[in-house]
Amino acid sequence: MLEVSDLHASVGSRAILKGLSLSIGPGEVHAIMGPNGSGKSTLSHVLAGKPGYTVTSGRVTFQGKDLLAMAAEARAAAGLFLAMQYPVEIPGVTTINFLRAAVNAQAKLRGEAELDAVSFLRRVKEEREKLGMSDEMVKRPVNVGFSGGEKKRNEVLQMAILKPSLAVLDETDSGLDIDALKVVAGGINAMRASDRSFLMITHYQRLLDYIPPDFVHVLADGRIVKSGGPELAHQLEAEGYDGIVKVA
Amino acid sequence: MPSSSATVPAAALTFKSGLEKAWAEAAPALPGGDWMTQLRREALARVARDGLPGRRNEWWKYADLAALRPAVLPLAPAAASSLPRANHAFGEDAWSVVVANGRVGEVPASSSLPDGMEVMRLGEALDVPSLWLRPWLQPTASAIHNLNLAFATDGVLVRVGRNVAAARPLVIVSETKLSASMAHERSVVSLEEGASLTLVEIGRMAGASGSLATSRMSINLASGARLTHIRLCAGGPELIAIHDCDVQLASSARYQQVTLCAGAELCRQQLAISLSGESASCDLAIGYAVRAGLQVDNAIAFSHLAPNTHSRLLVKGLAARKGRGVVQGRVVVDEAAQGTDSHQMARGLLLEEGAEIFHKPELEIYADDVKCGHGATIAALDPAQLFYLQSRGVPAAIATEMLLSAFVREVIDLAPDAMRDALAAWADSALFQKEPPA
Repeated sequence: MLEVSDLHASVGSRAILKGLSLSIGPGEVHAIMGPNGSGKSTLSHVLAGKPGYTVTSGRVTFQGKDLLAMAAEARAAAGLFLAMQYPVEIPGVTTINFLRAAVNAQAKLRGEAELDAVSFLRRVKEEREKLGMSDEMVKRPVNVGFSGGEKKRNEVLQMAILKPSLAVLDETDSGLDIDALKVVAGGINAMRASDRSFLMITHYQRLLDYIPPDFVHVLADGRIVKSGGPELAHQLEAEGYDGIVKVA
Repeated sequence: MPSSSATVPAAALTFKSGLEKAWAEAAPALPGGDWMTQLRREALARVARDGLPGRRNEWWKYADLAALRPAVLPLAPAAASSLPRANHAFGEDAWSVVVANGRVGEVPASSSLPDGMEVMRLGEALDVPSLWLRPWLQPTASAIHNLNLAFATDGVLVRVGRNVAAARPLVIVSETKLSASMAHERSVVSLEEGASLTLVEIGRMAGASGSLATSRMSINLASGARLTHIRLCAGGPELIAIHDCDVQLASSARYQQVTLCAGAELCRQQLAISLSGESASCDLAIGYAVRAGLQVDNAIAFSHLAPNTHSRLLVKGLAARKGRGVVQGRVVVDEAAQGTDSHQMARGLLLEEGAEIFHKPELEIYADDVKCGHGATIAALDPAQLFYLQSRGVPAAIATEMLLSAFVREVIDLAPDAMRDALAAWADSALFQKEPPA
């Protein structure tokens, strides 16, 4: 699904990723944990194609294609989704119109027929109800006046509608109370499938209690310094990053 | 240069002699009896004396009309053929009027209007010296008013009687196509006590070889009257369009205007709002987008003259490369206008290098118990918003279009519900040059 090999990336003159390698197979759930400043968000942004980052060396292939050569919108159409740590507010564009534009644009980029309005609205209704979002919420401008929890729900709603093959969840648990975390995690778990993979980026074990990963990686100073199974997350929680990173 | 030419070349005319020549040629066909001709002469003499406004006038700081139009042009002739039917998106049942190059076509039959409502052509009304109209046909201190008065060919007169609620919108479609010529319209809208009306003006204008069009509308709202005024305005290069609107509000009168403007070589929108009755209220919202070489210059003045009056101004403008947007917003609060509540906000988006936007708020406050706020922002498109859309699969070009429409949408959302779709469709085609959906 995703192959990252020896990725180096910088912001301005500052190197952030320093030889990161990662391989994610279909249907797998990976978690990347790491201290502040280790490069977690940079990885998610580089994968999604956010401007402002320079890849200085290394390769990323996504479903056999050179991901780094693709525009951000082409990456999305190819099946990559980034649930953002800080979802952006867009006054004047309603969530429903935003979703419609995204669904249609992706269909067009993939050379598929656009979804008709009735089917689209039915799908939005089903998915938003699962996430406990009201009709009024999707008719409001994207994320404007939303609480932290509502913004994250909106990310998961978009993911559910767009049905990516790889979802990168950047600190999706931050800013969520326990109830909201359960709803958001439930939405993500409902999407787990043999042909869909997840890359969760998080500080804490907490999210992983609700979305159990298959693999856990520790990111430090721009590289993955240790990889293991779910038990690694518990070890991190118990020992802190310092111990693990030093040993590595 | 051909020596056989008997006419004086335009370049040899001074502003004054050109003005007088143009007027002498136009005068025989201008409507109104001797009384009106007298007023026109007086107005003409003032324009000849004062010249057109330029940079030395602070209110024209960003639009030097005197420099842009150093010579006066002949008045455009009336269209030879009959006027087209009004074509607009504001409903089949709307009362519609077409104006072509400053001449009004058919007005709605009085049988189709409610009792107490009249729609007339200025040209007809000037045949008799009307006492009702006279106050609106006086020369003023403004050269634009005087130029307009001297040359006005026609316009729409609307009166809505006491407590009459006009159930349908009145739509005035002005088609102005000029070539090295001028057109001048003069309209008056008067709502008596408790009357209400929705007025839509659609200006479709094009000019060649440096044309000039002025339209002046005076609006008088008696106490408790309510006017919703929608204005759509699209011009082009080689055309200076000056829209002048003065509004008088008596006590508890309410005036609401939503304007969308695509600019012209210079599209000047001047508004003078006089809140002279207690608790009068005025809400203005303007959205504009200017492409290369076009300009929108908004000069808006509120005079709060009575207690507890309310005014709001929201302007949202986009400028592309070599486009220019201006907002001058002046608020004067008279000593008597305690409890005034006024706020103006101007937001500009610069789309490319070389675009210009100027915001200049002015406040003069002589009362002590008032709330007056103003804000101005000028920025580029937010890259974080753009990336958010792209990260969901929306290509950059479409994402940009969505964000620009969204920026102006705040203005459209201040119009009545029933009008918003038509306004959004107009914005898509005139402001954003989008093809209508198949």
